[in-house]
Amino acid sequence: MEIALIGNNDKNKYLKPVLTENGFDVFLFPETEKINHIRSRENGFLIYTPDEKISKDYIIFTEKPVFNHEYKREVNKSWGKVYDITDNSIKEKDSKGLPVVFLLDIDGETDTEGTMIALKNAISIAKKLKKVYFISKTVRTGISGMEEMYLEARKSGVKFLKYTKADIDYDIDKQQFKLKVEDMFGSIGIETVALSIAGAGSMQDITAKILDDMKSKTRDNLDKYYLAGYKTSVNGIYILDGLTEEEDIKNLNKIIADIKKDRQDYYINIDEGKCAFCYNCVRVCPHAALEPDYENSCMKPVKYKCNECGSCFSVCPANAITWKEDNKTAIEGKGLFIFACENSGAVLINELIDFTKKADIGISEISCGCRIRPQDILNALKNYEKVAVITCMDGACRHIDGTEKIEKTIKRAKDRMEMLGLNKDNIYHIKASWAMPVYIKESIMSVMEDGENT
Amino acid sequence: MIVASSKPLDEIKNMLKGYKNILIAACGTCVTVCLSGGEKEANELKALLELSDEEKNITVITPKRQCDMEFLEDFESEIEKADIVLSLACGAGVQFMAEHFRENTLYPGLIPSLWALMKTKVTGLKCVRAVGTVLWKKQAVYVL
Repeated sequence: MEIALIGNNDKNKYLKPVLTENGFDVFLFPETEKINHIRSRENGFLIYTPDEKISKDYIIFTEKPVFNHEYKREVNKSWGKVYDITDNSIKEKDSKGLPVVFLLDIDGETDTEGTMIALKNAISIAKKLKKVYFISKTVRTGISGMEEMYLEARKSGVKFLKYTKADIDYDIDKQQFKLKVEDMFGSIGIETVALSIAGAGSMQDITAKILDDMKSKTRDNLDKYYLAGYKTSVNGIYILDGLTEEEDIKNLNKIIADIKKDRQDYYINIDEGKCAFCYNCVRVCPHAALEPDYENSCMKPVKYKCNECGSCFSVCPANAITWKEDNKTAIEGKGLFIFACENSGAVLINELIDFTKKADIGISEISCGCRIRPQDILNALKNYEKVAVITCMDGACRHIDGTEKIEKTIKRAKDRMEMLGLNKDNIYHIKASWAMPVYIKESIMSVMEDGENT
Repeated sequence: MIVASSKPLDEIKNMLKGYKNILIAACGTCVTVCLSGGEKEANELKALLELSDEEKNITVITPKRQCDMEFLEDFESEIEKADIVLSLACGAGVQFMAEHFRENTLYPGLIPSLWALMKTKVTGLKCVRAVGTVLWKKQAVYVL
């Protein structure tokens, strides 16, 4: 396996030996400005420079890329800078009477996906009677459903502001942000403790500086709101922007694990005898990873397309789809069983393992919320008092609608249990992000302590 | 293809009252595709019943079709062993199973509601004609 390490800094010294040890051919590429663009091919990438094209299986950026290529947006978007500067628990519980602020820092036209996610979150917070400001340069209404969302947001009390210029300042002692927002008529100042910034526009540098300040000054309590990122939205392209060697090595190991998993052709097996040829899986697969095999009257997976999301598994009526690997059960306990989605809850396995061992919790790492069925929840309830499912926040599933699907699964399990007169209040759903270990921990504690649904 | 929905769970629970060795017979064709009587639903029902009553010993079988002896032959011993069979097939499957294996302790677990045709691969079903509740009584299936 060939891997390109792109970036001109000292990180290569300690990253290269780890990669070589794990059987990778490492290719160092310090001259980032020489890259014109990157294209993906069937199972890897082509890096174009003025002189040549270089073919590599995987790419890790150790430095923020400056070139203008088709992945710039994806890579820059993921570049370590956490969008939710303050985590949602602060937004919902402890905003000190100050407004919650969503700032779309995007030059030019706002991107649809980001706007939708921000709007959804703004609406859900505004509904809890919080004051919410939604600040952006343009108003995006390009696709269907968007205008209704704006309408719903206005009804729930979200205040919209358009700006031409903005400035942020952070008071590290008070842990408070000061925003100065200007448009052509004048300017206003907003103070907040809960700020979400999306996009990489003109304020990118200021935001980066603030985050670096926060990181360096509150190193001890860093995990509260910051984890260095390593994934981008493109499978096979990663970033490493940790402050310390330790942090980078930790993330590099996660990347290696991700790559080794990534090498599989298929994640699923389809039983030809059981397949009812009903086309449900083909209809729902977001990655177009299944196709009909007319000779044998059954579906077959397409090589290298599968992303392990479980959409097909969740809809297959005939139980014909099985996984090559079972869910990984990390720890066993008795009190609470957790199904943790690897994108949001896998942080549990890595970061909170000591805590969970003490607290008598069993954990199974699932690839996505789609991967569990009502019967899995019911079977877990036979041995455990409570079951919780941790998935991504609304709209954040990197496959498709995983959070919505798990909501349906839980609802079905609860409905069926209610029909039989069983206690249905011991199933919980926690929505979180991989950058929120403290929030996840607090949610688990509250699930264990009381019967209140999270 | 026949489209069916599940009978209310409390009704199923009442039917199975007093029996220990229960066999849930799913059917792998029509009712599988309409998500009411396939292996998946049978396993879900098994988990649910076991959760409500730990003493019950429940097994699940899924012949490709319950209305065809060819597919039922493999499961003969399981069907004979069970105290009661809950069939998640349509009226035809229930009738066939009852005629060939047992008359009294076999209950239907579904309510077939429609005969449907697959219109296109994408849009799904076109409904044709309604049927109704299946009641099994001494070698005859009454359709109400």
